[in-house]
Amino acid sequence: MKEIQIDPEISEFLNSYTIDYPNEEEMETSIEYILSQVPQKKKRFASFKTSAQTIIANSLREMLMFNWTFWALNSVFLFFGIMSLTVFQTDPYLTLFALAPMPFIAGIFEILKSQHAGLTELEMTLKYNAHQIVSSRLLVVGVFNLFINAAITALCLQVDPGLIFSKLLLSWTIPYVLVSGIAFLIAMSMKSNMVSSVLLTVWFVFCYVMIQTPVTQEFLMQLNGFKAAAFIMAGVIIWIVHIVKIKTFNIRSQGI
Amino acid sequence: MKLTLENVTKTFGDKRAVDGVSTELTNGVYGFLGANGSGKTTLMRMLATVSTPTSGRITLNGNDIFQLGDSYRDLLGYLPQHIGYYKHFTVEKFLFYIASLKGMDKHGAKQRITELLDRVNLTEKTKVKIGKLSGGMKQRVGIAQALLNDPKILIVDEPTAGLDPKERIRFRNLLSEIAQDRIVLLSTHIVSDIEYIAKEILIMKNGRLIEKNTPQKLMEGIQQQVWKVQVNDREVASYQSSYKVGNMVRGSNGVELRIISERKPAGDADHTPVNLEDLYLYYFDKEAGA
Ligand SMILES: Nc1ncnc2c1ncn2[C@@H]1O[C@H](COP(=O)(O)OP(=O)(O)O)[C@@H](O)[C@H]1O
Ligand SMILES: [Mg+2]
Repeated sequence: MKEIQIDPEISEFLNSYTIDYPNEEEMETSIEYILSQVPQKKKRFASFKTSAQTIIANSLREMLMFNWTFWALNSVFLFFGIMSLTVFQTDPYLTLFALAPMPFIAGIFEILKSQHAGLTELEMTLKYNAHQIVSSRLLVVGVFNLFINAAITALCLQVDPGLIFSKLLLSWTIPYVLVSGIAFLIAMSMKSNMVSSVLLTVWFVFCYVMIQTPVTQEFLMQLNGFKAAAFIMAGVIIWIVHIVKIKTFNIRSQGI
Repeated sequence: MKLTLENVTKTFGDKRAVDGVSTELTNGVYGFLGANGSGKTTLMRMLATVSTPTSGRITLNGNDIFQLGDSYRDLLGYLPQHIGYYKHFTVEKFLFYIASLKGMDKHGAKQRITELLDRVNLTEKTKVKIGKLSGGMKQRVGIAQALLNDPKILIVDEPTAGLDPKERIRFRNLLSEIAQDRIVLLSTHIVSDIEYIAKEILIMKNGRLIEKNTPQKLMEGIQQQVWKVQVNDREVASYQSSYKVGNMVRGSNGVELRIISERKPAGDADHTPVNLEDLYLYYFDKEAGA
């Protein structure tokens, strides 16, 4: 190994540089500053973690408080889904597409029931407050819907192993993310507890018209990855807006 | 415990619903008295963290209540002026649900619910759906939910609305019993609700806190302006048009009027001990509540 030789000129040049060491006081202030920054970040993360834990812990209770009509309605959807896939042999992609947002739309009624019942003001003052309650209900409905969609996808593959998995996946992800986002947007501005029924009807009509119209059917069948990603992105953006809205809703809520 | 309001203001557009309220509240019952639209609800909502002040600060023992977040809400019991219910829930289920949202465990909640349903006289309705209850019963469910977590700060906005006189007395007794070691804020336009239990009365007018004092002091303050005068039937109308007239008592020789006035309304008028209704009349120029 060769020893590294530093050019004397460079060495001189380097030596001409003096480093200003900070004095004690400066050092202390910097350390204090850094310390003040570190726990802040940690604290923020910790508070995010506890609030996420709270929402998850509360979702079990919220689920138990759901009205039986939510579960009954979903059983009906599931039953018709299974029937149409097995007995009536409908197009699996279209069937998945139509079924995908239904549990969520049916669940909006539960998610927003505080508003409809006139309990939001009280819930804002509870330890687990209105925004945590709404978040917990969203979580229940969202996860339940995901579960249903996964189950039907599995069923589709069972019925016809020749189906393309990625296409099945896209068939339900788009309505699951985008249609639910739009439905929730409409629902938030509706004061009526009829919101789920109204939106479900709209969705039925939409699906019926779509299935009757070859052009839209074609469009759906020919969705490529890029177009699908655009739809899903749009859905994700709508949901981010919703989540921000829900988080701040105890201070800017309904004109209070 | 000390709740401090520093120049608390809430505006809706141009409207100043609460206008620069500064005060300090410690343990005991505070009665907020004010006409409709005077800002009681808006102020209570801020104290219950339902809405934030447009400007000013509310602190508990020096800490901003909005910063305290759930550790403040943990101390809070709140009955909104207008409250709804999940109609399909039974009374018991509703109270259990609220208890769990207040972070209470199941066992503690059960005991507390039994106890409170007894206190608000609803034990027989435990298993009844809330949708089937009368307005007064619903209001009592509302009172019970506010008390579930044994709140150190109890805020009740017109809690006696819809209660019959007997229930009102029950409620008043309940409050005075628990008020020793907590802050109780009660708004009303019915003076008898707070007559005997309020440590202090806060009088709101057009969003401003115009008086805050013990009932005794407030009444002493207007002692020189409360009169009693005997008139005959024909004179009543003319007195009513020129003075604030409170109670009228028909006697054998005409009518005895209570009059709020800076100057003596008649030669034979006498001073008479002040009551809270006179106070209300003095500030609000309106019929005092029962
Ligand atoms: N959300 C709101 N938007 C607009 N104005 C409001 C709102 N809440 C209250 N106000 C107005 O503020 C004033 C005070 O109302 P409030 O606090 O309800 O009085 P009180 O409870 O004493 O009857 C009223 O003039 C009312 O119209
Ligand atoms: Mg009010």
